[in-house]
Amino acid sequence: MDEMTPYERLRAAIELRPVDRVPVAPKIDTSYAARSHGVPLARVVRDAELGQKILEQTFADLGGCDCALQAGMNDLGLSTLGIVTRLPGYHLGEDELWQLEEQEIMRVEDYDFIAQHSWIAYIEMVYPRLVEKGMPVPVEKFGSRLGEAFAREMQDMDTWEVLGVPTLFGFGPFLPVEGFRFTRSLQALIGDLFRRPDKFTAAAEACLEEQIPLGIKNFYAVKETKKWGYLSFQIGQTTGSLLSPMLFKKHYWPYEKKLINALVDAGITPWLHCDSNWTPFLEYFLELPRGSVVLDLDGLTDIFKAKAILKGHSCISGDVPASLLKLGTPQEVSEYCKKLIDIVGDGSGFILSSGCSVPVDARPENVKALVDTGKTYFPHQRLFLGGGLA
Amino acid sequence: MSDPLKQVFADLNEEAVLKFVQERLEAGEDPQAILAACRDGMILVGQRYEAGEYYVSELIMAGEMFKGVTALLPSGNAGETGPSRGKIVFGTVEKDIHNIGKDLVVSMLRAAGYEVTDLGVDVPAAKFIAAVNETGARILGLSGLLTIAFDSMKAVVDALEAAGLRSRVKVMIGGGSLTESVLKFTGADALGLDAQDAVNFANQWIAEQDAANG
Repeated sequence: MDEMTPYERLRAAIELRPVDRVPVAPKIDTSYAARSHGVPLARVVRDAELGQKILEQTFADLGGCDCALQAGMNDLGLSTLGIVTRLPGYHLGEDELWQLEEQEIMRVEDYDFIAQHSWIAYIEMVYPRLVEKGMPVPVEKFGSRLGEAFAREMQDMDTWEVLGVPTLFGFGPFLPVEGFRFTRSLQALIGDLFRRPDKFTAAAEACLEEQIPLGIKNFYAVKETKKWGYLSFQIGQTTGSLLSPMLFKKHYWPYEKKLINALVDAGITPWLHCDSNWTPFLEYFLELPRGSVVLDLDGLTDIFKAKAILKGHSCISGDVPASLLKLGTPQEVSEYCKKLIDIVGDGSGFILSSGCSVPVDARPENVKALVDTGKTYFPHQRLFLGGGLA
Repeated sequence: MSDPLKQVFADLNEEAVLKFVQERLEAGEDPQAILAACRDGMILVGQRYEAGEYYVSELIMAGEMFKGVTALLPSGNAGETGPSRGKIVFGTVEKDIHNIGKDLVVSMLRAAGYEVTDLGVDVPAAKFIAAVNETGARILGLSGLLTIAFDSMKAVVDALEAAGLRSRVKVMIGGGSLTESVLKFTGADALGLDAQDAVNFANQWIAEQDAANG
């Protein structure tokens, strides 16, 4: 098989077609990139251009990867999701890692507000509460700063395109449970699902009704200006895995299915980053359109069971654990990657990646071992050369 | 006959729980007995979780209900009441501010009858040692989500050793990215994969310590 470009390789893996080797896409963000280059983390929070340059340098150090999956964190933090974010240089020391601080920013009565006025109106309404909790961008500069961040992302995407590295579009829709959870807190949200499910449902439906067309519109606005278009939105999902099947079936899966189907119908490939343990829920993903999504697992879901269930249906990405990248040796990382390629890479439909983001304190030689193993170890190639996949 | 308060608590029927508690308080029942019934309900919740009947969402809801019950009790009866099964110091380690896992474990341990000193998040090693000394706790729980927490957990275990406390204090660790290799790295005694594990470790260690003390 001829050597594929990163874009061709990713598309083939997602569509379950033969590949020349597994795509290699560790989720490297500016935190790991900065730390591994001795740059204090606060500098890349304040200076996005510097963050992008260090990311590019990190990719170059690794001899290139097939996809840039993660960007950086700026002074807005995750304000567009109504979340308080603790940032180096503002709330934390100069070289400390940014973190979410899950607080009850959203109040019970805000469900009614969202149902009536939409999510975007909620974010505008709630931003002053985030400023009270210490978010550094003043209320009057929120809109313009958001515009700058969007423009910055477009510019970074252009840079990746010139470098031949596919990337994802970061301004995508989200699942209501996930969005509400971080701005409301997990405990309060779970309490709401038991105590006031109707309020949740009304807000969730209004939210998704707004999010789907807006996300698709934004995606196409960007796509039209790019040579390749972009692969997908990354959609974070954590909370679903903590729900009982009863709550999951009622408050999670219907929204997920609706969102994914709408995106796939619009020609977008949702990249579902699944934090936590989704093993009990894997069979649900069989209800999604075949060859249309990436299920990105973080090391807590049983990836081998995921392969057994989803083989020939959905592409799986993952899942070199953060603990292995920090505490393991290059040989241990390489052995684990080979196991992934042998089993999960069998029959295409696999992207080799870190579990969650490459941790800030990962050993660089371990990250290199992940990338090198992915690029050089491919026992399945003979099958493809012999006439394609069975 | 099983206490109906215990049953409705275990069934996560919050409305009925609060109604029972209110009625029994008005009837002059000892708040300790009311709390004990809710604790028994919480233990049933844990058993249902272990049996696969309940999930994390139900553990969280049970913790929220328990908080609601203690808020109804007269002041002085909320939180740590009744005969303590043992003292535990708990916290999220230095440089990590994640509190969800910690809060869930602390509420389960309290409901199981333990007297828990919750030190909060981003807790330096010296503060854990001071709390162990102050309370005389023989169990220490360390929570953390990020890989940067591994070093902080190891620092706490090393500090226990340096303070001459390691042999009498059992240490459990827990958090999303933790694995057996992290347990080995930190030198802790046990890795909990969920809140019920923490209760089981505490029960086991307290029983061992009681047996050793005759």
